[in-house]
Amino acid sequence: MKPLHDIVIAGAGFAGWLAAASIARNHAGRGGSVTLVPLPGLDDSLDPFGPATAALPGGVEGLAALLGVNPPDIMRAGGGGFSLGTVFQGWGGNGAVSFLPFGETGADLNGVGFHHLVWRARAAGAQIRMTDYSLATLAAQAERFALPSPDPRSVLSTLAPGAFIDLRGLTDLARGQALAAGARLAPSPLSHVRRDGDGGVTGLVLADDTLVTGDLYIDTTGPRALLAGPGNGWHDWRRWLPCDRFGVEPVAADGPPPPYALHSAEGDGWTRRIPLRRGAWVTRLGTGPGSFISGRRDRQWEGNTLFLGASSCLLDPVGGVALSLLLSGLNLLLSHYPVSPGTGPEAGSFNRQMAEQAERARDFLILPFRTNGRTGEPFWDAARAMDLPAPLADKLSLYESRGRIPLLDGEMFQRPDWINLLDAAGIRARRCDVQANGLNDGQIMTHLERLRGVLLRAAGGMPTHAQALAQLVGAPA
Amino acid sequence: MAAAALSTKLAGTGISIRLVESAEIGTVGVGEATVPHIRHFNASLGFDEADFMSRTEATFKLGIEFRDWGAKGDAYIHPFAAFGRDIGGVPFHHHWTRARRAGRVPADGLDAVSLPIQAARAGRFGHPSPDPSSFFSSFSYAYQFDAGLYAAYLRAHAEARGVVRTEGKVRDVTLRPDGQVDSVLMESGERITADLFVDCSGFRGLIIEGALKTGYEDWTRFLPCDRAVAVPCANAADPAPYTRATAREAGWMWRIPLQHRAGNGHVYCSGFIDDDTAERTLLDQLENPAQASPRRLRFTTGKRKRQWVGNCVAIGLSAGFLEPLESTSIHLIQLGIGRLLDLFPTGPDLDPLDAAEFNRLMDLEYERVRDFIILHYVATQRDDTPFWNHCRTMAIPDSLATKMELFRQRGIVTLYRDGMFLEPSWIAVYLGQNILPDHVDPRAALVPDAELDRIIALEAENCRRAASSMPTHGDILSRYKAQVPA
Repeated sequence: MKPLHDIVIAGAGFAGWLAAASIARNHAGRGGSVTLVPLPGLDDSLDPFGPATAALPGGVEGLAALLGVNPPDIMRAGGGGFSLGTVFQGWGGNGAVSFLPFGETGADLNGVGFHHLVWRARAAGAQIRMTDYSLATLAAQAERFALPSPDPRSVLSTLAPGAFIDLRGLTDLARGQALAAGARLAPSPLSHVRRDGDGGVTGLVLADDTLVTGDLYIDTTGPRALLAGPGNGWHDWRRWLPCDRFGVEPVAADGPPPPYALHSAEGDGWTRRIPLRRGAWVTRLGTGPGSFISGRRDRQWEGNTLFLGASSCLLDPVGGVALSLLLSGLNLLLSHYPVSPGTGPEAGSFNRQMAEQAERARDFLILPFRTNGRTGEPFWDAARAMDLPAPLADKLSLYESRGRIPLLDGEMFQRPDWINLLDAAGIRARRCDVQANGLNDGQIMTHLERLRGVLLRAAGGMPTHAQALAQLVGAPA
Repeated sequence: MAAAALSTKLAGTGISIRLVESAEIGTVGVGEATVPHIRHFNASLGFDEADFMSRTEATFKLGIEFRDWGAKGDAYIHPFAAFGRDIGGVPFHHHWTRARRAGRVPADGLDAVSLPIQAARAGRFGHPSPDPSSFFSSFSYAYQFDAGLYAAYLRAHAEARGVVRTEGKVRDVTLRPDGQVDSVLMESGERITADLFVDCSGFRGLIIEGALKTGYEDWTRFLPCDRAVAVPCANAADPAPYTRATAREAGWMWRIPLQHRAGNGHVYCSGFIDDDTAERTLLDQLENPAQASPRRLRFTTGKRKRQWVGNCVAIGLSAGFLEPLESTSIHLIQLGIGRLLDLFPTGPDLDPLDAAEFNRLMDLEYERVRDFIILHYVATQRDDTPFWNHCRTMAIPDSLATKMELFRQRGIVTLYRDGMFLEPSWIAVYLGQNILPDHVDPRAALVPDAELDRIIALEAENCRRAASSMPTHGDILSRYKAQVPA
């Protein structure tokens, strides 16, 4: 059998260079080739929402592993700071503010989940916010930062930071690593795709009429998905994620970057602000000159063609979901790397897992729309009235019943993320865990006070985010 | 187990627990083998290991030895550990497959790169290290114990926490007009009402089936064994720190070494062997004379269509039966209890969502365990008896066929969130039963042969040395016994 060696990547943006570096680095020495075919225009391979992106916890480490560099290299190339979470402003109504932290929130007591303890304390009259018991929240409020401790006994082990990244800097880093590992950039941009009678890709024709062929084609051409045949359509999710317009603009920095992103709800959409070390990027969703259709590709690997980045799945840029899906797709590609042309059981496994992950991430992103508290505004009233996908409806009803979130295969977010988001939206369970009845209010209040003391002391002992950045990453480029 | 766990976890909540049982009705287990999760259960009840092990005649368990499964004459151990370590970001079993295909390692060479297998073969045991950087942290362990003694141990714990035990047989179960269970009527004439009924009545499912007629999903088409015969005998030597499952002409036999004796049994398919022959086959191979007359059992592999119905939760054999090939029975009980506690009703007005979530999770778990057990039967080259010809060629669930195909072609193990058997277990059985992937991760080829040989030899040497530094299993058991007052 002919070994599968020649990889052609359509698109030489962030997703393309990251894929090229990952594949070339992992398969250097096997005698194959990795060729990127550039596209004219802005890089929308990850998403079309501008050059800044957020990375969820583990994202920086995941990028570093794929590129063969250390996490501080990623931070330097990305030109951003660390992230402790996201401020949601105005989603619960004008003036409402909540924080969705990364890392752990609270601590269980005698096997009783933390959120049940908080609900009990509130029932006893305490006015408390769930996330006031997360170290990330307290640190973010004071614009302080520290890396998590590997020692599980340390309170710092409850941290799990993400980061902010300027994709242009990271693309440069990925390009350098890819070229060093033997990847090549085609000299001329893509003109069109050559297909066989069934719509399968047989080659990419460049603007200079050169034909580039390979054993496997990777589509990183963004929302246009130029390699997708007519039989591999798009699942349109706009009935759940109502934004389909956007606009992007840079803004000047007013001081060191805060360790959190800002997601502000407005009359007919929402705005994301991503801080970088030099300036910030603001992306407006719901209105603006750009348009997009949220959803996912039906088959993310079909025959000899694989889709990564926005050609595979495109969602509102809440959190850092797009980057996580891309990293996950690349790692799955490496572990499911094809050994022969065509589709074997590895494509089925890849597609099942990518579809699950995209759908579970989608479910999480739907929540802030569905649970919004902005009444009297048609955009938001409609979002509150929407029907939910079945797995999300099941999650919500079990949570509303007894505060439990059923988790499925492919979840990107864990229970505390769901609970923090729902609790901040004012959604409470009708019932409390029976095991909490074994605790009296005094025990619960003592536990909460002790916890709060430990967290406040830990947050107070952290350096400022600016100091931490200078020490861990160095001066801004 | 349910009474002990519920009385501990629900202490102080005002919930009272009654347990109804009859000494006249025997329990199934003779010697029980477990999986490592049992240690969490014991720890959550506050059991001291030396005390618990001494009082239940327990031994340590490092894995299960499967004899004659892939082919007659084969033997492999499924340990509670992974084989080897990733090399160049590629899981060890890909490298191993390459070396095996090139004939550079023997078929049974995987044993050499597993510390718990080396220890098991040498009759040694040592506790894993909690330090993740230690070579001794790479494995886990479970127990083999006398289920009757464990039940007594749990009973003492439960009664000390207020569980009221009523001796006697249930004559009848009464339902309320809304179909929920109202009460059980004892033969003594006593009527016991409750808000929630936990049906631990075994195969019969006295409440879940007898009263509620829930229905049963029959999996005999995938797992054809339907009978067993069990008998204890004395150990021939110091008890081994592992369970043995030997494939036979129309089923398989277990040997579970406890401190005071060995539990033995023969699980078989009545369509291929008669009861008397099955019993004789069991008795003929005992290491010592039988200590009791053999007990015969009949079962239908499968699961209750719903394990939680209304105000009745089935736990244990009343919820479903899967043959004890991978020691899953006690684990499935433990899971049922854990999820009942997670979803425990908050008052007499039950929310059906609790039952729906419980049933979703338990269905997933039973199906995934089922698939893993079927793998042992279908991943075989045996064609020496009609039974094995049937198993080798029978239709299997799609969920398993897809997993097997992905491994057979590419060496990739399908992962999932809920399900007790993780990647190392699937690899142990696939490779142990001679499913060598056709292709491995192409990156494995980047490791030069000589380098791989060196890594494998070093790993084997480390395992051998670590195993030989462990105390013998017999020594550790006697040390524990000496710590515990009689």
